[in-house]
Formats: sequence, structure tokens, C-alpha cells
Amino acid sequence: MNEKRARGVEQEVAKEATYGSLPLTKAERVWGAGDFSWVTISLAIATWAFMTGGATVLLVGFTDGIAAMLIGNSIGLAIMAFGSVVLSQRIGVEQYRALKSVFGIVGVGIVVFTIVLLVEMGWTSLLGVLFGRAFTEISNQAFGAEFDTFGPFVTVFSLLAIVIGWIILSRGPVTISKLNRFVAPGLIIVVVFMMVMLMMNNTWDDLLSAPPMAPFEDEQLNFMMAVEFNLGAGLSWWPVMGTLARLTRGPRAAVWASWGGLFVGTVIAQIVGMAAALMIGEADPTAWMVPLGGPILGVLTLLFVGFANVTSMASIAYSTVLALKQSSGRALAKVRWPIICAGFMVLPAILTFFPSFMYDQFMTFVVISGAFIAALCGVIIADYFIFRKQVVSVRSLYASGREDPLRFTGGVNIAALVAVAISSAFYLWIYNPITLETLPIFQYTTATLPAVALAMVVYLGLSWLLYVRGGKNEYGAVDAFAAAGKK
Amino acid sequence: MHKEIYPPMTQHTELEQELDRRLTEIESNEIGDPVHAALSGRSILVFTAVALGIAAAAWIVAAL
Repeated sequence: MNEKRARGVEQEVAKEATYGSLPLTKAERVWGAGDFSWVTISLAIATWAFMTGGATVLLVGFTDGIAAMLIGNSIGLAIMAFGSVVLSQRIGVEQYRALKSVFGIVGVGIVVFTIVLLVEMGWTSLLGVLFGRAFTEISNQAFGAEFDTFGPFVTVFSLLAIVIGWIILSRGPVTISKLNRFVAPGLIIVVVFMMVMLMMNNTWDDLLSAPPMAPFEDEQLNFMMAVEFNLGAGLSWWPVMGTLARLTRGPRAAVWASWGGLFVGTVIAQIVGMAAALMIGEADPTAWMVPLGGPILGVLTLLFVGFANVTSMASIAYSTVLALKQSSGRALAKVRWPIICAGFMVLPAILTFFPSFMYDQFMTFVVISGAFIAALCGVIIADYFIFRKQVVSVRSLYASGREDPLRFTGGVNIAALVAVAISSAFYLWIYNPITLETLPIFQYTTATLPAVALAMVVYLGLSWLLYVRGGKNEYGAVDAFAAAGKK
Repeated sequence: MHKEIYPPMTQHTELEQELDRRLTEIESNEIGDPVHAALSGRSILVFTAVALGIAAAAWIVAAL
């Protein structure tokens, strides 16, 4: 990239990072419910959804899998929407600036540089591996080779995906949004095509009667683990949805479109993943698209899916790197955008050397990230809806220094971080996704619901003691927008 | 000499001015605008009921 172009991108990104963190005016809120629904449906239909469907039917059959998917995603997405979308939409501010009202300015940085960073690096790595497997399979078909689909060529192609993702990312937000415009409708066509191909070679009876692939003995436990996994999948949208929702024109548009679009897109793609896994033994389309679709259609589909993975990678990496830049204060202010992007890609690149690890640990990864996000959402819901009654001063979010009304304790809402830590640990005590040990309560409540509840209770108690009863940090503030929307 | 890429002091001032302009516009012209409406209690209840209703229906079908 030449110097002039680099400077142009830097300015574009700096503009986005700075102006993107500024509150949107009404004229800039360009999405109605329909627009936002299209965005969220498009985001949801990606190869990770096939993987989620396939992982679900490790534990349960097709009909129970659909039930677990509906239960988990419906509740998980609702918790996610309450914990991200509503706040950012009302005040028109990107998510991590808005969360200063919950965690404090330094507290947000802690959340971003730990939970958000690691979760999004994990998803980036997984998308890279899926790309690598797709292109390994294409090579096998094109050259008659028999490369191992977890072998070194997967790593080579995965690293290629990360490099391509970095190039797209380095060019800034305009390139990413242009690419998404044609990837999204293409994915819907691909998903429908995949399902047609699958069912042309199998019967509905076969599908409905197919046993789960690797269940435990306890059927109730299997079902609840499937539900919990889908709860985690629903919650996994938390890091990016608030910032998108600020572009919508009203609270109902934001909430219904985020929940509804993600729900519909996820259901469509997961059903294909479930059916593929049960009928062929593999949720990942790289394993069966060519045998089912034939060499030409199969390879074209894989090419498209591989490309879609890279654009999805660039989208989530962009949101995360932007959050890092904005949360870092002066620390990253003078680091060039492509360098920060490259830094973000280091861990995902390392993980591509262990493609089977990422694949095999997919469910564990989703569940562990869900543990932390559930806790975060519980704290945010308690703060925004119960203590603040949806009142957050836009101006206060941009204040700094000793005059900052949202200063908490040196920039940290201690109650919020303690509640997140306790509730995450509580989740992992109820359900340890590494050892697969569960407490008896898990079979009736999942781990997510008690964790969210505990996060709310702990936060309400601690925050009241530390901050709310003292009347500081704008608890009990007058709602400047009290007349908004009222006739 | 390598030109500074990051905003110089004058651009920081511009940024502060832009922030202030937006905040003033929001606090004066958008006070009553539906874009800033709170999510109503009724909307919260309906949304929660739909989400839980879908979950409950799926649970019942799975149990049958």
C-alpha cells in the first residue's frame, strides 16, 4: 500500500474511530426495522451457523435439535438484545462508549481488552480454519489430491484467509460494507441450494429418525447441553450488535430487528448444518458439498462460502479493532491502523497451526465465551433498566477528568466487574464445558439463566452500596428525553 | 520528514467542536424525537413474552 493511500486509509479509519465514537444525529440514523433485519439476517447466515447446527446434533436428534436451537437462540438473543442494543440505540452511541455508564471508562477498557478481544480472536481463527478446509477440499477436487482436511495445507490456506482478511481490514470500513452487500444474498441462495442437495439424496424419514452423533447416556443432560450451547451462540452476538443498532430509528426497530433477523438467519442455516451432520456425518459443507453438488457446482459453492468467511472475519475484526483503538486512550493513538489490525491477527494466525483443535473445541469455546457474556449482560440489564431506568446522559459519556459525572472509582465501576467475575465463575461451576461436569440444577435451568440472575443480584447489591445510594454517577438523573416519542 | 498522520492539535479542536455541535443538536432539536424514546414497558413485556413463548412452545413439543 503506497504512502498516499495508507494515509488516506489512516484518515478514513481515524475519522471512523473518532467520529464513529461520536453520537449520531437523527439524520444519520438510516435504518428502519426492515433495513436492520436484512443486515442481521445476512450476518447470521455464515458457516459458523452450519457448525453450530452440527454441534447441536452431536447430542440430540433433528427434532430435539430444532427445539434446543429455538429455545437457546430465542432466549440467548433476547438477553443479548437487552444487554447491548437498547442502550446504544436510545442515545445513538457506539456500544463501548455507551458502556462507560455501566463499567466506567477504564472498566470498559478492561472488558474490551480481555473478554471481547479473546472471543473475537477465537471467531476469527475459526473462520480462517473453515476457509482453509474449504480450499483444501477444492484443491483435492481440482487436482485429484488427497490432502488431509486437518493437515498442513489447511494451515496454509487458513493463513491465506487471515492475510486476505487483514488486507480487507486495512482498507477500512467502506470496503467491508461493499463486500457484504453481495455476499449476504448469495449466502441465502447457497443455504437453500445446500438443503435441496441434501434432501435430494436423503428422505425426511431418514432425517427425522437419525440418532444423534455422540450423545451422553442421560437424554435430559444431552438436551440441556444442546440448549446451553445455543444460548451461548445467541449471546455471542453481544460484542457487535449495540454499535450496529445505533443506526436504527427507534427502540422497537432495534430490538425486534436484531433479535428477529439473527433468529431467522440462524434457524435457516443451523437447520442445514443439523441435516448435513445427521445425514452425512459432517456439518461443515467442505466435506460434502462436492460429492453432493458435483465438481463444478460444489467447487463454486465452496469458493463462495470461503469468500464469505473472509468477509465475515473482516467485519467482526473491524468492530473489535475499532473498539480496541477507542478503548485504549492514548496507548494506541499513534499506532497505525494496519499495525493494530496485524496485531489482532497474530493469535488467530497461531491457532491456524492447530486446525483440528479449533474445530474440536468449537462447542467449548462457544460455551465459555457465553459464560462471560451472560454475566456482562446481567450487569448491563440491571444497571440500565433497573437503576438508571433507561436514562443515560449523552454528554456525560464524553466527559473526562475529575468533572466526569460517570467517574465511579478511578474510572472503574468496581461493582460491575466484581459481579461479572463472580457470575462467570458461578456459570463455570454449574457447567464446566472442559470437564463436562454439571451440577444437578443445570438439567432444569441451564447455566446461563442462573448466571444472568446472579450477575443482576450481585450487581444490584454492590452497586447500591458503592454508588447508587450516594447519588453520584448520575443515578436518579432526570431524563432529558422524557418527552421523546410521546404525543 | 515523515508527515504526522494522526490529527494535530487543530483537528483535536475540530473534533471537540464537532462533538459539541452534535450534543447541542441532540439536546435541543431531538429532545422529543421518537428516535430517543425509551423502550416502553409494554414493548419490553411483549418482546419478552414472544421470546419466552417460542422457547416454551419448543420445550413442550420436545417433551411430547
